Amino acid sequence: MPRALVIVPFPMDEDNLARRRAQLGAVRLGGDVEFHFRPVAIAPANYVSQQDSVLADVGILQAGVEAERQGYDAICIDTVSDSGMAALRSALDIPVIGAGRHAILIALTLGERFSILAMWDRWRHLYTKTLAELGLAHKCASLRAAGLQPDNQSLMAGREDAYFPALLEAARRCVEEDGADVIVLGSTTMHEAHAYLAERLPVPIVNPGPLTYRLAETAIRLRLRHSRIAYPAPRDDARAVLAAMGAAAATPGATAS
Amino acid sequence: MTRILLLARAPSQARWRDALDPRTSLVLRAPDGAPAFLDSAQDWALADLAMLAAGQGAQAEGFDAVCVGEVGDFGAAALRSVLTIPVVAAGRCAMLHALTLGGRVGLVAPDDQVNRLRKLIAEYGLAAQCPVVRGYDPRGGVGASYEAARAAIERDGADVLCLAGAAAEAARLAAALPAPLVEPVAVALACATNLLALGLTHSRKAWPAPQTPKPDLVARLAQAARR
Repeated sequence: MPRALVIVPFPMDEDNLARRRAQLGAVRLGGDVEFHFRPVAIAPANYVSQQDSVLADVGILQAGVEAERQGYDAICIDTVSDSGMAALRSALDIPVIGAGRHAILIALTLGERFSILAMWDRWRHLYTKTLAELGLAHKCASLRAAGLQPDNQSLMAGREDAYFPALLEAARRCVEEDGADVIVLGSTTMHEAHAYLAERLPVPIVNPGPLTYRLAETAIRLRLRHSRIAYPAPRDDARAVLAAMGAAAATPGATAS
Repeated sequence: MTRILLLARAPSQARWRDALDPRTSLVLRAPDGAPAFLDSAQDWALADLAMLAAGQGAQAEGFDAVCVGEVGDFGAAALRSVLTIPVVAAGRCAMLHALTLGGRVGLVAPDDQVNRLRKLIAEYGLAAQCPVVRGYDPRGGVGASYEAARAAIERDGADVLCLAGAAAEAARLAAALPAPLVEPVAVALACATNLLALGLTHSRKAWPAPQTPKPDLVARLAQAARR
């Protein structure tokens, strides 16, 4: 059976990894692909600055660069930032599915304009980057944040009563004030709020993580992968360097600063 | 059992089942009264009506989704306004899916569909992303579509292709070309399947329901066109 590797963008223990794996329950899968979740070894503390983006790119690249040799048929990246996606596409021939741009593009099959709903405004740079790369800022009705502190480990556990209504209020403003036809959740860490929002809002809500699993199935079935013209292969093999970086990151105290 | 209605003028023998989940029934239906050519805006208006007539009853017939299997996306917007089940369209799906694979999309289609594709690209706001549209004469067989596809890559700089009208040869062409090749109907069917699996459908805000639905009139007009 084909296998897809889901790269989780922060180091985490098994309990918190299970919260990420729970996204599998939010979608009906075709049953012809197995999904394996793997946390990175290298990561920033969070994704609020461009320094963080460099670390995120390298961390996800390091976590996935051997995936093809390890027998995986596709990679899903469990972050709407699409960190590491381009780098992995250049290094690998298997499909690499980034949650962010794929969510935006599927949103445009559901409506003419979409809003991206975020926990906090400090993720804005992630979305403006992807929108610029796609040239689709004109299709984005708004980027709205609910003013909430995200937790990339325990997600929303224990905070649902406060967080879900705040997200709903921000989402309503996307629809009623900003003119969104569709809402895209701005992080896979928000997936626990998806069902609550979908029941209460009059527009479709795209849940990026589960979407990537379906798109991995599609890519494998249709034998479609990224363009080598758009993502040329590197001339040098950096796997040894990346392995050394992974080992360095695993040194006690290495990630504190 | 999931049931998907595929509307297309000339259903082919392409391996579209690869795009579907197990336990999916795919029903092909050619719209009655569709025009023979698709060159002109008159043809487009008649094609819109034919597709609307062919699909407006899909939800009542028990289908879970409708796929407009023409890159001209005829009738898709109208169908979305009268149905709450997902309605996907091959042209729009192909362009958006191609953008997941590359950044400069080349659309290659039979000559009579080129103008329609240019119109859709503008309507969808994808002019910067889909700058290449090349036509070919379908009487030239697979060679004609292959030459047009190669030109789109080598002369026009496309890094990913959507190729219409050659579904049966898509796999063979894909193997011979240096850029990924998106077959529009296959990705539209995959999109429909994915939307159903995710519990998603199109936005009512984008495609509002008519205040006064007129399905009987639509059906009578389509029937009159068939005569």
